[in-house]
Amino acid sequence: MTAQKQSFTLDPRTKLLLLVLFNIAIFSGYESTMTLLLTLMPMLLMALAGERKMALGLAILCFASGILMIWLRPVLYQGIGVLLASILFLFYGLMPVLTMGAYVMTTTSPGEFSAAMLRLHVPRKIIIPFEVLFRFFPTIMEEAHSINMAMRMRGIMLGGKHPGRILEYRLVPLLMSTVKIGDELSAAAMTRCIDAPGAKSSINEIGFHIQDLIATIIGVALLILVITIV
Amino acid sequence: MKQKLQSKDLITVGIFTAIYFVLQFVSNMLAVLPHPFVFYPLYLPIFVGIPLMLFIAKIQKPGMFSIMSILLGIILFLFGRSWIPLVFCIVFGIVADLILWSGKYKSMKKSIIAAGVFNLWSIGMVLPVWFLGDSYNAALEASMPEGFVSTILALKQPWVMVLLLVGAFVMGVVGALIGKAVVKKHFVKAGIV
Repeated sequence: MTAQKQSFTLDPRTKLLLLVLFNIAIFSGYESTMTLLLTLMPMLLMALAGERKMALGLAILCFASGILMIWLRPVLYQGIGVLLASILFLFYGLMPVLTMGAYVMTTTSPGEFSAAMLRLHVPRKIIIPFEVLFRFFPTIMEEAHSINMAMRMRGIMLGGKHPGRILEYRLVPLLMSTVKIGDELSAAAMTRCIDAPGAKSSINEIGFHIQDLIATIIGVALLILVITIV
Repeated sequence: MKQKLQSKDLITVGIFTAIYFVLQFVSNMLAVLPHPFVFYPLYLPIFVGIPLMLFIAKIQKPGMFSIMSILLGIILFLFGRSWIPLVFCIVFGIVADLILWSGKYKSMKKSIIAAGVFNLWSIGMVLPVWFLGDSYNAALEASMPEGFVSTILALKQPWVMVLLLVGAFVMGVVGALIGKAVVKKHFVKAGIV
């Protein structure tokens, strides 16, 4: 099982490269069927890496919005649906990058990520906050959700009794709790010798294999395709 | 003031970058309409003023602001923005860091100015439509309602640019003042800063 899983693992550096390539691709031009094609690659990679459920979920989401985008566009853009439709289509346009990002984030452990960054000679001052940054997105969402519930009970919401206080009453508790979590995190990191001098080693073995080459070639090919078609 | 950034501070930088990014992302949802898209720099500080001032009050060490802005720029780029916000973010982050440094990271006046200057980066979110040309706009046009791009292009006028430049700074300062008041009201009292 593990051996099989290993064989489909890409090097974190390849993943980052793919993310950048996709980024350039969606700026170079836009075409709704091309977006679907681009989105297919991260989904395949995700399925290969064993995240089948997530790949399937994203596939359904993407193709549903793709259908809306291609065929139902003129209908949706009438009247009041414009704002909703715009948000949906904004996400659709970014879909290749978002799915690639989701792939990178779900299949790369923080350890692998920092090992890759160390190999790239990124300074420690960038690596540490970068890792924390990604670790914190889910935490922020979680905290924001619970604060949202609490504030709803007190009637602090859009259309509630005190809409003007929304920002302060949401942000302050959010900042309080995240700062506290951050302090705990640094205490935990300290006990694991984050400040130890000298070169760091990693238990994560990273390196380029044949699949990295193939993925890169496909990525570059897709980019060229996008540039030439659009 | 020869303090260097410790690992603890670097972790704090990461946290505040995450918060800043989430808030800018949420406030940017409004920018699916053409006018909020162009005037994004004017209302962004209302959302991010509080965490920004808390961040400045909390670390007070050289380099912290530059690192935040570099990370922010990279994240923006990875989440599908062009290279213009990336460059703007890093440049204005470093300038803001220098302003903070000139006040030894303690001066409240300098902190507020730095927050105002840093907010100028958000103008970089608007510029791609005006200056990156047709291929970028074609991409945007396809994913946006009819008339989205043309409304934005129609706003490419000198007075709008001056308004953005001055307004981004002024609103950055206003956001910082709000942030300062809130930080004083809640966080100083709670002993977090």
